[in-house]
Amino acid sequence: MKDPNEILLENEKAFKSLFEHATISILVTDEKGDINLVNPNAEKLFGYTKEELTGKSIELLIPEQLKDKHRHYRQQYFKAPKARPMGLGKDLFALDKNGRTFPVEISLGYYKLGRKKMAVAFITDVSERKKAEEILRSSEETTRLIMNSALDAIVCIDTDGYITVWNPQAEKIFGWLESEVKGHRLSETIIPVQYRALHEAGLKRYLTTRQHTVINKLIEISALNRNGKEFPIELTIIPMRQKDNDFFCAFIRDITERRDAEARQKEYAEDLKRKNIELEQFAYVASHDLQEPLRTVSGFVELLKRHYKDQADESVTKYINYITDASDRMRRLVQDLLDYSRLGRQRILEPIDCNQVVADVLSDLTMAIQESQAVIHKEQLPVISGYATEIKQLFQNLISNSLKFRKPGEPPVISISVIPNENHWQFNITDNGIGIEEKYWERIFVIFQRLHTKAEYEGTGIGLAHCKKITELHNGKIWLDSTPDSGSTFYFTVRKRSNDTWVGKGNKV
Amino acid sequence: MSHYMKQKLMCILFIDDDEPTNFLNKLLVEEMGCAHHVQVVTSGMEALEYLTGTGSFNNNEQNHPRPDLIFLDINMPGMDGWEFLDHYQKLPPHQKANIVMVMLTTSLNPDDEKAAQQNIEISGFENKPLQPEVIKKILTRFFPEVC
Repeated sequence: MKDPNEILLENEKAFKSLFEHATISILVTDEKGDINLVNPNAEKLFGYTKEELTGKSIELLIPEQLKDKHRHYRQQYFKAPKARPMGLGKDLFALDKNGRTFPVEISLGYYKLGRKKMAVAFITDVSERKKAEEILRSSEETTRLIMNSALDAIVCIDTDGYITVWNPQAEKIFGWLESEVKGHRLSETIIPVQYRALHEAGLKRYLTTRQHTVINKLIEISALNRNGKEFPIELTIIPMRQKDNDFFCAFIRDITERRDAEARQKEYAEDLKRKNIELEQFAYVASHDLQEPLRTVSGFVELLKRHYKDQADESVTKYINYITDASDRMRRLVQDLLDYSRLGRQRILEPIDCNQVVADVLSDLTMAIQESQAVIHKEQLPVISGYATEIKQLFQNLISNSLKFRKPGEPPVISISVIPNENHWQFNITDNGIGIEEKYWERIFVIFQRLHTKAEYEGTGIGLAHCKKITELHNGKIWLDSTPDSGSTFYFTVRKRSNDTWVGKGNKV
Repeated sequence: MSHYMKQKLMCILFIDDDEPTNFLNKLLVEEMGCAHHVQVVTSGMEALEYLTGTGSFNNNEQNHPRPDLIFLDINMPGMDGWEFLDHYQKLPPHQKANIVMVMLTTSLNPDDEKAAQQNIEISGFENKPLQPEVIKKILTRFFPEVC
């Protein structure tokens, strides 16, 4: 049997070792609040040595603004001392040698040393934990902000189909408050009757087999609002897992307006298409049927002419010539109208070497070019995608206009060039002709609009109307710049396609 | 001047780019014998020159009396009927006083008739081809002393 004194000594050694090696900081004070014992961990925590602290007031380690409070609580404690956590529910702070204030958690213990009452404080620095909590809190705050300000309704359900999340936008779209639907089954709220069985079956299938048809993609379907009205929505369902719990979140958008707009747009487009077809047919049929009586008039005028060849007086000849001229003119107008309505009927885009097109046009216009002694400059042109007949007509009309509306007594000089823009080819045809007053820059593109009398310049006034329709068929525009008496530049654009190039097969540079 | 003798208008002016139309119109009013002089011009510009005694009508006042009645075509190349009216409106008062302007058209566009009604310079709006009844109607309305 050991000597009780020896046992006591061994115990003290053991406790001393516990005290020295504890990973918690320990401070012992007496009733006056003076520090009696400091363990190494406490030295480390507060930055003071044991010698610096011993005999000092415990308030040395309390931040300035809390010192008085602490003194008061300390005195209270000694009236009924017992082991308990300190400052329950309050955030506690300590002050180290460097003046740093930091959050702590403290448990209090108590013992008597003879007649002296001693208090033991077990102190843990909780800075790191507080920081982590702060991060968590702010991330929760962020999540809440996102949920509240999301333009999408966000609705989550657990694996049994019960609603767990219902953000403000969901309240707005569906009409139920979060408090009204939380804990209710999704299939009893926003899912229309016809989809309920599917929803339940899909949920079950996913949970047992992980097979799915609707997850992680954009789906258009309908939903019910609080008033039982079914409306179109667009949604994405994302499966989620948090601490071994599966749940599903849906991001939902009300697409009623978009659907309406789409329907309206489709209606307009169809209407426009129908009207365009009608108009084309109208022009085609009308001009076709107009040709018939016209041929009759021309035919009988020819007969009259022959019949009265020898006996007609001057007036009769004049009248007959008026009729002939008018019916010829009518025939040309009708033919032009027919051509106009036929433009772009064969809508097959093909690669067109504009260099070749211009060469062909110039060859067709050889006579006019030679007669007028025209000089024509052509830059390198691209191979574009277009309707071959129409593109040729476009160049033909513009170049022959430049030849036709030349200044009297001055050989025409015509330049043909191109500027590649991002989405379009912009062609420029410049001449040194009579020019056009600015007030006519729009009118000249209207069908049968002319600026000159028949005596001055021949024509029905359809050429530029054709050009306008052709550029529009190629998603382009046509316009001009002109100075009267000095010349005009006509610009037109043609949509650029990915396979357009500068050098084509038929291109002889 | 005896009371049964028909008075005549001094001058009727036709503005139309179509030569056969002018021919027919001129023939019609000449046969009706309601004007001393029937003038035909084929463009708005020529008409302005006639009214102001400029261009080809310079210093020829005797042969080119001021018109009492103008028939104006809407659709003409270059300066059309509307544009002519813009210029006409800016003429000094003595060059356009008491002139009756009638718009003549083959247009089926009701907008043209509406625009004509709103233009203070235009007294009438008639369809081509011009008929004797139409001329009589215009004369009765604006020149009762001629009929």
